[in-house]
Amino acid sequence: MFEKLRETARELLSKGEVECVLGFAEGTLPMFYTPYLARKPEEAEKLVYGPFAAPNIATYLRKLKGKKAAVIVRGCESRTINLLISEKQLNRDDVKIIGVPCVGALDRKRILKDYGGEIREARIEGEKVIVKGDNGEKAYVLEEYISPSCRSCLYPEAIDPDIKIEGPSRDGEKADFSDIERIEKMSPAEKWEFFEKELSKCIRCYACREICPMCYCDSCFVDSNRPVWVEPGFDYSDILSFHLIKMYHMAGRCVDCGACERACPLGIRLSFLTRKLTKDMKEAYNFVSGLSPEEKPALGVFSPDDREDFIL
Amino acid sequence: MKKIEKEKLLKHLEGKGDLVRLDEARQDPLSATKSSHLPREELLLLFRLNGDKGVEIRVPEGKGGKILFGVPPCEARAVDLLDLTFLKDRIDPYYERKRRENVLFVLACNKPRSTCFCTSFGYGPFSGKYGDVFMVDIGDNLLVDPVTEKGSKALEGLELEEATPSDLEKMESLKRSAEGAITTVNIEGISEKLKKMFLDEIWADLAFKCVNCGACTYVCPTCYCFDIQDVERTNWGYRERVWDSCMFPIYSLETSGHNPRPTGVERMRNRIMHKFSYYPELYGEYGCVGCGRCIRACPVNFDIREALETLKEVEVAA
Repeated sequence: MFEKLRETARELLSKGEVECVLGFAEGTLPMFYTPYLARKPEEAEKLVYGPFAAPNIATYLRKLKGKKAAVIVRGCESRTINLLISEKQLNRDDVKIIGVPCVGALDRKRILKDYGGEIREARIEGEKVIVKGDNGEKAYVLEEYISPSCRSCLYPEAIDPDIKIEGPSRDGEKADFSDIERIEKMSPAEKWEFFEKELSKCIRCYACREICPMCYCDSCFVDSNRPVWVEPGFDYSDILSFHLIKMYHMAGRCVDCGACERACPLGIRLSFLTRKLTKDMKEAYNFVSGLSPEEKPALGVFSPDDREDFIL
Repeated sequence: MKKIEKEKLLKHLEGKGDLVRLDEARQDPLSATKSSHLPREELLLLFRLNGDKGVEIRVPEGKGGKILFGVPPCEARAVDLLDLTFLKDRIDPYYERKRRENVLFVLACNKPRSTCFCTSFGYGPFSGKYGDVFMVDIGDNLLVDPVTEKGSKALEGLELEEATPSDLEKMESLKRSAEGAITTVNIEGISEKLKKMFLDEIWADLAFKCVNCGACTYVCPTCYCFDIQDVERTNWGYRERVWDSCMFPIYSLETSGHNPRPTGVERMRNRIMHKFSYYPELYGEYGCVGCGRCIRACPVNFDIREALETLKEVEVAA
């Protein structure tokens, strides 16, 4: 099923149009595609795409600065590229964008949990994920097991790709924010308790930060020791400070790809935060991040008509 | 070996220490074994300004006294490796007390995971030489065998039955099937080879997909790096030790502003070198136990087994 993509990548590489093609390859674990850089035409054979790809591949573009690269992207990843271009982190001319269809990224941890035992292999069959392991063979409906972020995705397909690989994508018409609405209705005390329960699992490994394509600062506020903005221990106030300040920095810059949540080894539902950002930006400013590379950063523009009702 | 019903043994252990059960659920991603000896955050001392008397310092009593029940052999072996750092050349009193007071009931691993590669390191899921008591779950009973004096003491007063030949046979069959389920990585000669590979170009390729988060190091049962911080309040404060990770840029950042490991490539190289070259050189043991936790926790599927295979294949000038 990846023939068209592989052929495209092989051609780009053999004609020398690009030095490398960035995408995913089969990983060593079931349901896990791993980031992969094809540099020779024959390496294009390894390229894959689909729900088993957990990270946002645009994160790796910062490792390819100065290289002529093609990058295989889903909708959220193409919006990330637009953001990176608008923030002057990337030249549009340096990347060739290959758009692939997207049915959503798998919430792998949820399948691991629901299956229980050790999963030894997995494959996608139509709209199902078939897993095999210590508890026998089981089938899971993909749509029910995609990342929460993908549920509110309006743009499953790449925006303005140079090359488009056709195939079935998720229906981007329905954005489901019901879980966020449920939190919005909570009292401040309930919200505090809810987030404390979720975030206190954090071990500050910063997988969420490192996997995030928009967290590209050379030096992060949490790593500063002169002055110390956030103390290095595991006090909840420090954990909360890290996540909240990160979110402040993400307002209008987050495409809600859900990669941070999928990266978290502790399974923290970070999409409760990222999706609230997405929802608020849409409601308050009718702003969706990354729709065009010319787009001005949401927090970098001012209009006299901007909503002010949330200002105390 | 002796045998006993699990419930009887657990009842016997009641009240003898803080019982930490590792046998019930898979301990993922973090394991209580490392944190029971090297907590992610540990108070080292308290200080306060007491008027004219100057600065008062108080060193809190460390606390051990945990009974870790069901420690897998890999994690018990990992604690032995931590000993090399914290007890060998100089003794770390905070670690030493916990090590002395905690009791490790090791449980043979009947169902290895797909990420296990412990047999690569000269031991296996049924190795009985780690921790204080070695146990095998043979279904209706536990086979038990004290490993240390501390272990024998923990079993004192219990009526233990002698294991029958059929019990031992059951154990052997469980052992065979567990060992058979594990993929071994041949790491012979890797530490010597790595010594010649410091400047090899392979590190850049290997490090490409790594995003340099600290997940692998925090879940690793042998990674012990820590940071010491003085936390200051108005007229008091405390010194604490917290987990640190060689994957972070600030880890190796020097006061001058120079960073000898400026990019992810050098940091990745260091992590592998430390486990597979520096540790063997210093102590004659690999700094990895093959538990596969890092493989399961990695957000981008960096697989240390694959990395070792790649490193093995690189041709190095003699």
